[in-house]
Amino acid sequence: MKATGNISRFSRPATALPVMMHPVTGLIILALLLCIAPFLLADYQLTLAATGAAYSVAVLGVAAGFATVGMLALTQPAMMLIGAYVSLYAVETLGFSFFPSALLAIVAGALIALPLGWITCRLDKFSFAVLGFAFTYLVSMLMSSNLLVGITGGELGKPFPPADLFGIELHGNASYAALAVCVFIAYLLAPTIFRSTMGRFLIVMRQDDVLAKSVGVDTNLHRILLTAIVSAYGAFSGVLIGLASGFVAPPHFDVSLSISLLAMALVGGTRYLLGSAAGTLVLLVFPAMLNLPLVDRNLTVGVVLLVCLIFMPEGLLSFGKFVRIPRATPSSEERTT
Amino acid sequence: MLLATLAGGISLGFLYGLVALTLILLVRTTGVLNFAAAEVGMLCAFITFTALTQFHLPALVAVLLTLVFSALLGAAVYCGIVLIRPADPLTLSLRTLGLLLIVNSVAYKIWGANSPYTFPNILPHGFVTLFGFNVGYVQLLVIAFAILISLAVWVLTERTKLGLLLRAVSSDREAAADLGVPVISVDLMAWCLATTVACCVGILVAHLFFLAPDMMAPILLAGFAAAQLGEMKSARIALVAGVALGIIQSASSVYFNQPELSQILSFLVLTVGLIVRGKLHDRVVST
Repeated sequence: MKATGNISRFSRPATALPVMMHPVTGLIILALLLCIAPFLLADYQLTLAATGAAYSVAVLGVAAGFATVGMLALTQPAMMLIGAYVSLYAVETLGFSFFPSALLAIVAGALIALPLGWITCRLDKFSFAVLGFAFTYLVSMLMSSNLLVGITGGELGKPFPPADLFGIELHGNASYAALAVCVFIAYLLAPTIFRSTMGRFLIVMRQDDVLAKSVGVDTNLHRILLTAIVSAYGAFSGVLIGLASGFVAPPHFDVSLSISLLAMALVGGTRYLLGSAAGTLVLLVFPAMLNLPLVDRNLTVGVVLLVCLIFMPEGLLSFGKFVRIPRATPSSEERTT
Repeated sequence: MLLATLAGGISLGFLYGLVALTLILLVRTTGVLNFAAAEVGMLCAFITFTALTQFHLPALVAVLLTLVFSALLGAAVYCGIVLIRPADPLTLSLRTLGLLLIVNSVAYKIWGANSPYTFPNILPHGFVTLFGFNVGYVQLLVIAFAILISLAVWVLTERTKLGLLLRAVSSDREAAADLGVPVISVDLMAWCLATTVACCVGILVAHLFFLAPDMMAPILLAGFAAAQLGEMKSARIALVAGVALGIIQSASSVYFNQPELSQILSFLVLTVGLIVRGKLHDRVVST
């Protein structure tokens, strides 16, 4: 091969593929999985699966940001922490029940993301990623520190109360059902948001920012809104993780989780609704069920991410493209005649 | 006190600047943001450590062997994650995230159990008294090495034929290829050079602080910040930004006496710096 042969690899045009592909199929499969899980899994495995489902909501936000404008949302663990503690504070101090406290956490996550969204408009993709890393590092470190130990419980964290409905505490399968409904609602809303007019504007922005501005799209407003939505998903995920595991500890939400969440989104496939669930299952739930040590889990994440990005850049759910036999398409002459 | 803090901050800042230099070198030449740059440095520091403590090689030989290893590692990484299936720069950058996790996990598996380690003294220890304050030789030598490495990279990229080729590829890949520049070979050289500089940073960090698989995380973050403040283009601005960040962190950790407040200040400086840099860039473009 000539050394100068492969020089145009960086000029591959981006394609305007839709996001959240196959939403109906995805939602049906998700509903089935959530329904049959309690009958197939033992208690410990069900807890792991529920925690995985809660994490996948944060991954869904990361995937949506990446698939629409190519955003590297590395702020997500910080938003998860903020969401979990806002909900906890609302329940313990303000006397809220679980569902209103979750709603408050979502609103808080979205509001805190607004200034970050404003900064996004002024930075390029990689600068925002660096800022995201720094923000997550800062929030995780502050919440683990002695400065906020009264609110967060420091490095040891705090127990998360069980969900309640009309004053009745939900335990066991009832608690799982509450979590499953929340996860399903999060997945149900994603295609609605990202296949709306706003979602299409975001895809145009990814294609060409100047073109989007020239046809009247307020690109700054849409970036801010996207950051808020992605962060709201992160905050909601934080609440659900607290509910699933019964515990919130800031050291679990550090910078390495930013990379893991992005890896889960990319491995599953950012353009597919179920991509986030698939990525979480492969990189989080299965290794946990196999009782792999943390180092081996990280190694698995690294190897799977690398292999996927090299051989299946659109994620595991694009596997069908490789096994499907392509149909012969008529040539232009045949079509015109 | 002030001088000692300043020396500590400058030596730390130069390390940030050198990490930024490796990032900029690759971004300018190949468009790839190498998230694994610092982890490769950490791996090289562990290899030097093993050569020194288990094989009892002389310090110079151990360091030289590690530098050769790092260059080969750079070539292997380029072939293994870039050349194997070319893609757009964002995808290639994300592949280096996978590499970061792999290198970090491998280091944990091999050396993690007993970490952190004290790196053997390959630089002279002691103090020099400047204006009545003691400043460690190690800090001064780290500053000297960092300046030397920066100068060597500058000479290589600005005053040699290889540097001319690197700049040609960074300026316009397709035009450079049309004019007969061996683009893939130049990419390969850039990866080798970047990992060699990262290796030097890893050894210096291990010598200045301690040796552990997670020792490079804060250095990488600050290196990213410095590179971004240099717009991923200017190594000189990135070096200055790295030194400024180092001094701010060092001074604030001493004077606030609260590591959390020091980190908040660093984050604010980074945010403001990135926004101001963006505004200045917009102004320059519009004029």
